[in-house]
Amino acid sequence: MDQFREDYVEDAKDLINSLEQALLQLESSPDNPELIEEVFRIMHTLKGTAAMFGFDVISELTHELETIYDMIRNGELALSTEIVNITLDCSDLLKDLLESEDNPELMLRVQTAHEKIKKITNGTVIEDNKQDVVIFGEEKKEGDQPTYYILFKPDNDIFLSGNNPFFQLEDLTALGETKVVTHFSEVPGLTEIDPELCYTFWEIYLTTKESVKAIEDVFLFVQARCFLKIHKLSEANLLVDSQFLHAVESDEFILESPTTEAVEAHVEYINQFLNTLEPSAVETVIEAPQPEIEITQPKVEVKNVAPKETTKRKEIGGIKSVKIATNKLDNLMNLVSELVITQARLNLYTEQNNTPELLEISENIEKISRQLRDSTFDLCLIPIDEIVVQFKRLVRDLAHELNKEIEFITLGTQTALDKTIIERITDPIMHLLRNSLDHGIELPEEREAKGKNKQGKITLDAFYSGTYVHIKISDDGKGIDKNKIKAKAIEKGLIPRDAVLTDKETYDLIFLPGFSTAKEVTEVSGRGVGMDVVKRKIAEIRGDVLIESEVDKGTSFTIKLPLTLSIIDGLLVKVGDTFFIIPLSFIEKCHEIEAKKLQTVFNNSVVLDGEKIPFFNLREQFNILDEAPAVQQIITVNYEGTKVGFVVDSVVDEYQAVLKPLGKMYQDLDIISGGTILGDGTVALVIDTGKAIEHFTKNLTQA
Amino acid sequence: MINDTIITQSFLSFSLGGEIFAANVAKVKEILEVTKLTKVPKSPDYLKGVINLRGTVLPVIDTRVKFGFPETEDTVDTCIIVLTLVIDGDEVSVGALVDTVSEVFETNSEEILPPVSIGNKFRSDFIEGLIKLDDQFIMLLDVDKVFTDEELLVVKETGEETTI
Amino acid sequence: MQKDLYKQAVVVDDFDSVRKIVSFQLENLGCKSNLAVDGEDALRYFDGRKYDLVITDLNMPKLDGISLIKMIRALPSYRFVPIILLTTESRERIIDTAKEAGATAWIKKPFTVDSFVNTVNKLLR
Repeated sequence: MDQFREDYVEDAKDLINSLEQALLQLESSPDNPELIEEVFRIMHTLKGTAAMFGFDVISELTHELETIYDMIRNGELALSTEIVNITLDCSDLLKDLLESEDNPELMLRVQTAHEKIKKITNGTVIEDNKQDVVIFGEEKKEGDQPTYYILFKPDNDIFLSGNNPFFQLEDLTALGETKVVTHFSEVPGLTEIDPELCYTFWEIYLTTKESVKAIEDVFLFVQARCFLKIHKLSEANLLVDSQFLHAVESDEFILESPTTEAVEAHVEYINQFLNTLEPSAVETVIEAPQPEIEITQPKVEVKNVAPKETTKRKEIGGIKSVKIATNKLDNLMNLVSELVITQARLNLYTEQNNTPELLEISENIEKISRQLRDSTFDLCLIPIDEIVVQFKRLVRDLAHELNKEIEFITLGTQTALDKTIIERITDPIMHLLRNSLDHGIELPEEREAKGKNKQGKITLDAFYSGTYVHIKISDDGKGIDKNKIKAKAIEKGLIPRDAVLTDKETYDLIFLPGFSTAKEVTEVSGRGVGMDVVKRKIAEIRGDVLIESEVDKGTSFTIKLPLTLSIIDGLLVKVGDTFFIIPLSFIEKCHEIEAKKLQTVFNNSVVLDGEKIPFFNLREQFNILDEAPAVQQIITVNYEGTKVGFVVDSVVDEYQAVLKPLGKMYQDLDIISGGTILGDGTVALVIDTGKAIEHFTKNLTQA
Repeated sequence: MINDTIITQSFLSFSLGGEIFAANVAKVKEILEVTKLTKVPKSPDYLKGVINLRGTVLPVIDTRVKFGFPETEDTVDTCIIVLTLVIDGDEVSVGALVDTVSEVFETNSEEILPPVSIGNKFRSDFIEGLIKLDDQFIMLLDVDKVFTDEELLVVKETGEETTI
Repeated sequence: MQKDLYKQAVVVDDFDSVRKIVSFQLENLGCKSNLAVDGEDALRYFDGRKYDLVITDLNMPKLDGISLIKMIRALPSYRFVPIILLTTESRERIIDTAKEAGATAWIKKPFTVDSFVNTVNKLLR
């Protein structure tokens, strides 16, 4: 049961999220009956399911909330901000209750909620039907019902079509009372028998209120594969007649053979028998327009219907989703990573052993594992939409708290990111939003005085950029005053008094530990973490954050995140004995260059393709001291819009790198984002080009 | 720390720069031969580099440097002891490069002497205790501390008191 | 045939936990469950395969229980399969609608194991 409860908590949380979403929408369009219905439906579902899994407090609370929305949809109550607020409070409470239902502090909150709701509903509670189970039509059919004679002889190969004649017999049984006579006369001797064939046929005496059509329908899927005859014997139920039953059970009625003629003769004989019983009740002809229903040949119209139905089902079958436990997904991800590593080994082995066949297989497997990798990645991608509700909620609540008017716009919420990134980016985004609300957007009066719209605007825009996702949070508030920041940094002793800083460097001061531009730390921004933590959290998932701002126009924070954390396409290069991987997404071009040329250049820059490009020699930077080869490679990478060159000894190949963390021992080393294992088992190091350039530049200025 | 009740514990002894050390076998995952090691640039000297341990990246500590012994060339006896450490509550595997691995031995907790008798050559808070085995003193390392602390095993300046 | 070893049911509910608990109970009754997350998803099962029971939720994001029952009933092979509608809704009009659509029985959530098992046993022939 506990396992079920755990599953339920997940389901319920999803439901509460959609509840919040609906409530927030409801606030902007309070007259939307669909939203009211949605909220009601969610409460209703929660109420019923919570009780099933033993969450009685939740069940009770949602029952009361349900009442409110029932009253609203019936026009007995008008939706008010108060109601939305109470419901939102309750949705928080519900989430907490899912964690634990017997916490005294929560019980107090539940009590308060009960009272608030009671005030609104005046004690009205929806009355539920007390009955728990109803089985329709348990009351038995009464009166007369016709009796039919059915001969059902499946074709020998019926099983091969996936049909089982027993299903038809069973369905007939479901129509009413039956008496079945099974014929084994056509079963061959043991030596000739083919177990895949059907040799049996049946006579069925059926009494039912259902129409002939219903009986025909039973055979719809097998009609082309059987010999079938249906005759109505009587308008009355013959199976209650002991004489008739006796005749069926004894050998009174004998069907000569399963042919049309024999059946007709047989039915004729039965009719004569019935005449002797009770002449008035006997009918020799069935009620359908044709005296006999011959379904041996499939009807044209039936043929047309069937394929139509299958195509329809296919379409519907295509839209479905499955929920997968995250640990299963992680497991799959790990296996795929292992596969990619093993693939690299296979590639290496193939190169060393020049066997054309092996090469072909290896290339094929490489293609498949690449596809498998991509699809698995796709599975792990979650749209930002999933976390946006929380943001809307935060903005709404904070705006109320701070007496600010905010329009919160979210764009590109379908942009998807790896689930581990989604999990870890939520808090930093929350903090940036808090920051915008608290420090960015001015109070309504202040905004009016500046000639701005009273209502402030915060936009969250997510979009793809190469293998990166950008999440841009912008506001139209007061902007960041560079001079103030600088003054503050100087005052705090973070930078020397005469420091000359670029705009970017100035804004980045905000991210220094202990920096705060607000005159006083308000409750809002003071809550939780500082901007330095935001920067660090984003850096932990190999992301970066950039600030743009203009005084009185607004500020924007752009968070740049990798699509995934675990596998990157890179260029495998060698410096000395060490292999490095440079992520392909940053690489512009590779050039060959003579080592001695590099030694004589001025200002650490070379001219490549007519462009002057600053470069760093990885040998020097990484202290790799053996002698450099005569011809080296210079790889130009993109660094915040400009080109920077990295000099390496040689370029080995393109390489799919499965990123493995270097672990806690190396946690302070940010220029290497991880290691990857090459085909021969050696570890190559993945360079974070951005971080490396920053690091090298710092060394340069210090030198 | 020393326990009052008598418990038999197993230790793995290894030699390094002529001294004999031991680590609790509960901390030892396995012993590897020295394989191809990738040096990681811009990292502290005592971090020798990383190796591939069945698909995961294992950091390897140059124990000689960490313990304050002069660096020497690897020999055929040089090997890597894979240890499980607890850093900030997480279990982390690291490799420790040692000169020779000697043996696994058992000892009662009452035979473990307080580290005070080593004098102050090594930092006493890195040493759990001392065992006398066949006329030799073996230093029992607190591996969690010695391999996670930035400090070296050797006391740099005198004046640090060894207390227990 | 495999099919004869177990009874087969289709269980339709948008709640993973409800699907699990229902299929768990059915399993105890010797009945295998084919799971679907909503009405639309459930339709893929009704391709002529035989089922002994269908259990469906009422409110689901794509194709609700009532519409699903109507669609199942419109398929000739499934005119007689017992269908249980699971719902929290218990007002008369819903019961009537369910009956009209062709539901065989209706069980109100929350249900006890006993009432569930009793109902299912009655309907599984």
